[in-house]
Parts: sequence; structure tokens; C-alpha cells
Amino acid sequence: MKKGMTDLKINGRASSAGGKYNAVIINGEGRIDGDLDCIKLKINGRCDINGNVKADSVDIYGTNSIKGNLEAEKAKIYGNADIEGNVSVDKAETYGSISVDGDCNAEVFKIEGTFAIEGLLNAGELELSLYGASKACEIGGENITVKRKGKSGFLGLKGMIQGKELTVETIEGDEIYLENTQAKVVRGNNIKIGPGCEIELVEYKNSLKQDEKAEIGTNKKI
Amino acid sequence: MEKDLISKKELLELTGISYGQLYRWKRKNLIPEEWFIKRSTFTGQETFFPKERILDRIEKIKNMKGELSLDDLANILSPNLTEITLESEKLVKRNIVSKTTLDFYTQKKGETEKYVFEKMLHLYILDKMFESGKINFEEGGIILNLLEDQYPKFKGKGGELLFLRKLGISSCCLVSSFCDIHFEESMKIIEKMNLSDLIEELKIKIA
Repeated sequence: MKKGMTDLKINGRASSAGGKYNAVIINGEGRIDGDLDCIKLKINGRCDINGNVKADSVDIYGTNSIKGNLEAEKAKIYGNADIEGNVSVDKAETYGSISVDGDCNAEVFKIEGTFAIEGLLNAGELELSLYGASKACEIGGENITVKRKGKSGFLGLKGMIQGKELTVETIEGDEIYLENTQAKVVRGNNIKIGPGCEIELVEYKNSLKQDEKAEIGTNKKI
Repeated sequence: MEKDLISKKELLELTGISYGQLYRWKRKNLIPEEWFIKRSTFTGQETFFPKERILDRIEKIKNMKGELSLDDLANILSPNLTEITLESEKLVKRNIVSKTTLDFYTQKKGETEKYVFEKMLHLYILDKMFESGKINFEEGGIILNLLEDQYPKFKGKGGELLFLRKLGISSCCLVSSFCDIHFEESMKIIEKMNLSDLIEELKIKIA
């Protein structure tokens, strides 16, 4: 913590300009017009940020929108986040729904809930637990795990009506495990295609395991 | 400007690295975003890279990653300018810039005690051009002015410096990477320098 930097606190409903702060804490409803550069950002409630966000740690409980990029070491999001730029975080956890218009970069990324990422989702450790329809343009990384969570409803009807839960163009990684995923291409070293998957092309280097409830168009060993 | 492209698949086969490594290096900014070129093929979208540059870069990363952390490596490889400053004597002593070039610079821009990285880069480029014997001092002045006026706009993006000559009249320009540029026949490209490569070289030299 540097000296001379002040905190920004909003309790209730208020708006503020961006700037450099020590801690930014919003309880209630806030709006920030401009770029935000702070050590700690905590939102309880709702906040719309019209600019880029740079912070050491970000905690969001509630709803948040960012018009620019989000850059942080640690980010935890419980609720909703809507980010129009790129996201680059060391360690990120989201519980709820997140949408990103750009790319997502993280060393460790854990998502429980749903997500929509228009660009590339690039993470070292990626753990996706799906509770509903999600999509990404591309997914790349080292360890990629996609699991289906959420109750399947009466005789699995919910799953049948909603169809595949993750839709993605390509997935590329070293170790890949997928469930309920629809993809054009999956490439990697060790690939396990679990139940409910529909993959057009799988290219693997070492091993491929396919669940009996999964469909694979063609597979090639490289 | 680069015609030779290599597909991602071929690249991994050739270099023996895995998808995970490639994505990690991309995350760490060891491989610039603009090298990932998307093209549609009959199997859908595929990613291609400028062949020579990516092979060279991967070789470098492989060689250096034992000694340096990925973050340090990213620092060296990124086209962002660092904040190191060096005194003029040191530049000559460490063989970064020749005495002649330094004298030329002082003559044009006055005595400078400490050089920030950006100025060092200007000197370094000039020095290379003089050394190659392709330009004279007067032309060096043109290049120096171009770099000082226009280079800041390129910050963090690399780009190329072209030195041209037509019927004995010389000129130079800065272009961003990967744009196609065509000249009429009588225009000769005397020298082409890739700025990100030079920044990289210089960073290694002063490190």
C-alpha cells in the first residue's frame, strides 16, 4: 500500500470519476466514469464502470459491468459480470454468469455457472463446471476440464431440451476432459471425451478415450 | 510483408512443443498477438504464423527459459521499451554503438550524458545503417528525424524501418508489421530493418 492514495467508498447510490485509489469499496449502486487503478476493488451490489479496471484483487458480489479491460492478480466474481474488453487475471474464480467480448487470459480459471466468451479463453488450469448453456470461440491451455453440473431434471429432460451445454469452435490443450460439449475440433495430448459430447474432429498425440454416450466424427492420431 | 506462413499444427510438430506450452507463452506475451494469423481453410479456421520469425522465437525461448523466468523473458522479447539508461561512454565501451555514430549524434542533437532506451535504440539503428555502408551521414540525419518524430506512435507494436532510394534521391519510412507494401520498379529498397528484432537485440546487449 502506497502512502498518499485514498480510498473510494460508496455506500448507497453514487457515481464517481475513475483514478488511482488504494481501496475501492462499493456497497449499493455505483457508477464509475473513467479508468480505475486500485489495489483492491470490492463491490457488493451493483457497479457500472465506464473504463478499464486494473487492480490487485477484485471481489464482486452482485452485478458488475466493465466497458473496458479487466486486469487483476486475483478476481472472484459471485453473480454477474459483463466485460466488454479483454480479461487478464492470474487467478480467477467466477460463480454465476460471466460474459466477455474480448479474450480471457488466466493462469488458473475456475468457472461455475455459465459463460459467454467471444474471443479466446486461454488458461493454464481451466475448470469449467456448467450449469447452463455456455459458449466460447476458442479454448486453449494446459489442463482443460469441462464438467456438467446442475441437476438433470426429470429423467434428464432438461439436458435433452437444452441440448449441448458448451458450444465452442476449437479446444486445444495438453490434458483435456470434456462433458456435454459441442465442438468442431479438439486437439491435444491426452483427451477424454465424456458423455454428451459431439465433436466433429479429434486429433490426439498420446491417448483418446471416448465415452459410449459421446459422438466423434473422425479421430486421428498424430 | 511475410509470405511464408506455417500452420499451428506443423509448428508444433516441427518444434516438439505442446499446445499447452504455446498457449502459455502466448499468455505471457512471449509470442506477440499479431503473429497469430487466422485463415479459413477447408477444415474451418486455422491459425498460422510467420514461419521464420516464430521458429526463431521458439528456439530463443527454449534456449533461454532455463536461465530466465518467463516474465523476464517476456520483458526482453517484448517490443516495449525498458527504462534502462546508460552513459555515453558505456555505450561505446560495451560495443553497442561506435564512436563515429555517437559523434554524429552529438553533433546533430547536442551532448547527452545519459541515454534512455529509446535514444539508445535510435543510435543502435543508425549505427547498424552506417556500418552496412548503405547510407551516408546526411541520410542518417533523415532517419534520425523520422525515428524521433514518428517512432513514438509505434510503441509496443514493433514495425519496420524502410530506407528507399529512387534515382539518387533517398527517403525512409516506418511501416507497421505485416502490411503489404509495393513500390514501382525504379524505387529501390536499400535497407529494411525490423524494429522488434532490433529492440530484442539491444535489450540482450545492455542486460
